[in-house]
Amino acid sequence: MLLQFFSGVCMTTFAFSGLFFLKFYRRTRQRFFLHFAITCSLLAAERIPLIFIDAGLEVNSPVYLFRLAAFAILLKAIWDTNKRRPPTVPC
Amino acid sequence: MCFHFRERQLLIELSELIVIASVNNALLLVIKSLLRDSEFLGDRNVATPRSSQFNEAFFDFKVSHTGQTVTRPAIGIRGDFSHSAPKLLLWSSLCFLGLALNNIVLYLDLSVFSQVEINGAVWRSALGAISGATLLYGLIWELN
Repeated sequence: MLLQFFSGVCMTTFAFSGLFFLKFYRRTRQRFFLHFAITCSLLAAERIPLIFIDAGLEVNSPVYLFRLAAFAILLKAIWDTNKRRPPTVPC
Repeated sequence: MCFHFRERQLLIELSELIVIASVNNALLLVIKSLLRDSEFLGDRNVATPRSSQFNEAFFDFKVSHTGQTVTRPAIGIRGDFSHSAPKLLLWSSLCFLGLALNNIVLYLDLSVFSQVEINGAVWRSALGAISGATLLYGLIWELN
């Protein structure tokens, strides 16, 4: 029971966080926010297959590929935003 | 809809990867939220007032007027964190620290304590819920 409750909280909060980041992306058009939105959505979507899987079998399922993809996307976002651009010569 | 990994070793390796990625994320976000002049967003062509205002609120980075790339110290920990800190970034980093912890618990559950029943699924879900709630709190509280 507790497990389902926490899973629900997890899914809802990440889904709404994803929507927030999508809003920021629409406002600023910066891809960093899009990556964050995708990450949050994946972390929320991860909970859906868990409904159909027995709690005892959870660790034996490839659900965690969702999570790996989410963190990989976030790493890529951080990497992209930190790439140094070639210095521009001031006019 | 029932699929299993046959190889337990493969699963442990996957969870190791997840732990490494999530810990990396959390550490990078923490370091970035502590940087004095955050060059977190490399994309500087934010010309509209609305978005630049937003970015100042969000990340508090300074764009040099000449557009020149300024060499800054790698880790300049800010002294007055309360005033101009990129607060939302801090909340995000707290969230991803929680998720990293979540994944560490997963790895421990899978590999170290595989023979012992520690009810790891509930703990992991609780950690995930706390992390998500932290991020959502930051998003709602800091931006309004």
